[in-house]
Amino acid sequence: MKLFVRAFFLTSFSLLTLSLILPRVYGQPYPYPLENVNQFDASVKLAPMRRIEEEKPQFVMVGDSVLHDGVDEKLLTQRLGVPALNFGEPGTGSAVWYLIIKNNIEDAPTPPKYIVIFFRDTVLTTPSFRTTGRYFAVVDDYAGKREPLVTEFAYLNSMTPLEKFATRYLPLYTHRWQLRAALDDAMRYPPAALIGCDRRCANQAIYQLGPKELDAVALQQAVFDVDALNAPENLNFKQNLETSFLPAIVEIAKERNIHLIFVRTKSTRFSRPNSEPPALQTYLTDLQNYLAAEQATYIDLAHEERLLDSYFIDLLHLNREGRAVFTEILAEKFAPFVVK
Amino acid sequence: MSFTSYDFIVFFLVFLAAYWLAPAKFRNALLLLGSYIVYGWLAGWHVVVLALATALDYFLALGIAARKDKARLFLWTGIILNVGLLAFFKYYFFFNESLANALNGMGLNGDAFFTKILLPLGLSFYVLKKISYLLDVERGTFKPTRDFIAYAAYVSFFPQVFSGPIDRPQKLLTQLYAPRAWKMENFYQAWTLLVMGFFKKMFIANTTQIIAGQIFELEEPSLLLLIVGGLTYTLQIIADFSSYTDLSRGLAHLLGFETTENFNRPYLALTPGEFWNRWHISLSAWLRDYIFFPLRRFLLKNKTRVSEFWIQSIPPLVTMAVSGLWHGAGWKFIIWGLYYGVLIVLYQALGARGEWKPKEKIKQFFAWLLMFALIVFGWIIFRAISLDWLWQTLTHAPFARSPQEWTASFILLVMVGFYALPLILKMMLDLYAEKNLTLHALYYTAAVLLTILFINSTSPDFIYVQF
Repeated sequence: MKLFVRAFFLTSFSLLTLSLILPRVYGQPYPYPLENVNQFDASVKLAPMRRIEEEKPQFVMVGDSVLHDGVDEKLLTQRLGVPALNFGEPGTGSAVWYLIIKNNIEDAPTPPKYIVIFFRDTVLTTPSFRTTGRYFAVVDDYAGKREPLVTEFAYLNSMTPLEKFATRYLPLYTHRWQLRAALDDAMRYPPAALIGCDRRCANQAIYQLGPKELDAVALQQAVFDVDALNAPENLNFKQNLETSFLPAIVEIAKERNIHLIFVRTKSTRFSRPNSEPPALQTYLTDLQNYLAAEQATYIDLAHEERLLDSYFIDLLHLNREGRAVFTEILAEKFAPFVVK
Repeated sequence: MSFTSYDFIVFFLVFLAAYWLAPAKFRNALLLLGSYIVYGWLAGWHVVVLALATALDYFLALGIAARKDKARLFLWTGIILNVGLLAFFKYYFFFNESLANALNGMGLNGDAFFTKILLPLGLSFYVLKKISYLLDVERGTFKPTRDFIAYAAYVSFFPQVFSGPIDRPQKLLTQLYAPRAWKMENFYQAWTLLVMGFFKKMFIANTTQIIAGQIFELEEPSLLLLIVGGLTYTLQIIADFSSYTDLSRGLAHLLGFETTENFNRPYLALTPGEFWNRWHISLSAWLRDYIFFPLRRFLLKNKTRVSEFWIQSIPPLVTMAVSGLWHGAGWKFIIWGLYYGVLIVLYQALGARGEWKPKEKIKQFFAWLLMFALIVFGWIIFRAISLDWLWQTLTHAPFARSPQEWTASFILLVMVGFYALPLILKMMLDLYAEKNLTLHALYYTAAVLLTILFINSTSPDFIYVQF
C-alpha cells in the first residue's frame, strides 16, 4: 500500500506540473482545442503536380500498393496512346487519395481529363483507414498545415472518448509527438556527433535503411488491413458516406471538370461472383448507385477471370505476369474514354 | 480484443464491477460469460470451437475417472482430438488451397468459406491446458471436476486465453472452486503488474518493433544490420511477451486469482537449459512434464537397446522440436526449436547442464556472453522472413555495405540501449534495492509518464497472440 500511495502522489504531482508547463512551452491553450489534434507540417509533397504539368496526362491513377505495384504506367501509356500516370502510394487509404487530389490535382494548371481511383472493399468510406501510427508520415507528406476535413474525418471521428479527454486535458498526451521527437533527437544526434557525424549525416545514415520497395512483411500487413475494411461498422455505405472523403472528391472533380473513374480491384478473398458477404454486396450496390447518380464511372474488376489466382503473391498483390495482364485489361477498359 | 485496446479497458472496468457486485455463487458463470465475450469479440465462431472442445474434455476426463479399463482409450481420444484441432488450424494455410479447389470442383464456393477460416486466437495455449488436464486426471494427480462451469472458465479464463501463462488445473482450477471476496490486496498486487505491462508494451515493444521491422524487412541486410536487428528483436520480444504476461497476471489478481510467472530474467541464463527454465516458464514446464520426462523415462526403460548418448540427446531434441512446431507451422520454427535442442545436447556433452555455473566471475561473464549471443541468433532465426532469406543473408551479404551502415548501426544500438535501460534498471532495483520504496515509486512514476507519452491511437497486437 505504501508503495502505491507514494507512486500515486509522485505521478499526480508530475502530471500536474507538466500540465502547467507544457501548454506554455508549446504556446497552446489549456484545455487543448480538439481541432488542432493532428499536427501536420506545412510542406506538401507536390511531385504529382509537377509530373502532371510536365506530362499533361489524360489519366491520373490514385490508389495504394495494389496500383503502385500492379499497373505498368509505361505499358498503359503505350497501349492508350496518351499519357497515364500512376500515383499509387503504398500504405495509403482514402485520406491520402483525397489529399493528392485536393493538393496536387485540383491545383494543377492543366488538370487531367480523368482521375482513376483504385479501391477495394469499403476503403472509400473508411476515412481513418491507414492514417495513424506508421501511416501518419504519408498523410503528413501530402497534407498542408491545416486540413480540417482530414482532421475531422480521419482523426476526430475515430478517436475514443478517452483519447479525446486525454487530448484536451492531459498535455503530456496532447504534445506527445513533439516530446517523442525531442527524445528521438536526443538519442540520435548526440551519439552520432561522438563519431563525427552531424545531423545531416545521421539522418542520411538512418534513412538509407528504409525499404525502397514493399517487401513480404509490408505486403502481409496490407493483407491484414483487409479485415479492418470489412468490420461491421464500415459496411453501411449510406451511414458512412457523409463522414467520408468521397463527396469531397466528387465535388473537386466536378469543379475542375474531371471525370471520375472508380476501379474495384480483385483480391483472392472474393474472387468469384457473389462470394462477398451479403453486407458487403449491399454496400457495393449502394456505392454503385451513388457513383451513377454523380455521373462517375464504376469498373468492377473484382471477379475478372483473366486475373488468374496464380498471379497473386498474396490476397491482394500481383506478380510481374499479373501486372502485365492487369495493365492490358485496364488499357482495354480505358480505351473508350481516350480523347485523341 | 487486445488488453491495450480501448474496447477491452471499457469492457474490463464494467465487467470487474459486475463481477464483484454479483453474488459469489454466480462469479464463475460470469467469468465464463466474460471470457466468451472477449474471446468471441473478433469471430463468434471461435467461441463455438472453444466451447465444444471444452465439453469434449470435460466428459472424457469424467470417463477416464469412471472407467479405469477404458482410461487410456479416453485419454488418447482426447489427445488426438486436441492435437488434431491444433494441427488442422495451424497447418490450415498449407492445405486450404487444395481443399478450396476440391470444394470448387464440387460446385461449392470453397474460397468464400476457407478464406474466412483463421487460426482461432489462443488455440495453441488452451489446447495445452486441456491436454494437461486429461493427462493429470489419467495419471491420478488431479481429480476430474464435475463443475462444468468452473472447468469451462478454467479453459477460457480471459486473462490467459490468448497467450497464457499456461496454468495447470492444480494451480488455476482449484482457485475456481474456492470462494473469492474482494480485498484491497488484489489491487495492490495488480497495479505494479499493470503499470509494467502497459509500459513495456507501449514504450519498449512498440518502439523497438519499428527498428527491428525496418531491418528484417530489408531484402538482404548486411551482417552488421542483421546483428543490430537481432539485438533489437531480442529486446522487443521479451518486452512484448513479458508485458502480456504482466497484464494477464494483473488482470487475474483484480479478479482474485494468483497465476504463474512466465519469466525469470531469461537473458541472464548461462546455458540453454537454464534459458528455457527462465523463458516462457509455463510452456517449458508443460513440455518438460509431458514430453521430456516421459520420453526420457521410456528411453531409460529401454536402455539396453539405446545408447547413453541417445538417452541424453533424444529428449531435448524432440522436446525442442515440438516447442518449435508449437510456435508455428513451418520449417523456420522447427529449425529454431531444433537449434535449441542441439545447443542443449552440446552443452550437456561439455558438462554444462541446466543450472551449471562456473565459480570464477570472469568465466561466468564469458559463459553469459556466449549464451546471450546464442539467444540473439536464435531470435534472428525466429524473426527472419524465411529460412531462404536468412541463408542468403548469412552466406552472401557483406559484413557492412557502406560507412553509412556503421553510423546507422551505431545510432540504432544507442537507441536500443536506451529502450533496454528501463528493464535493466528494474532488474537492478529488484535485486539490490528491493526495500527502497521511494526508488520503486519513482520508477513506476516514470513508467506511467513514459507510457502516456508513447501511447498511439492503435497498438500492434502482442507477438505471441499469433501463436
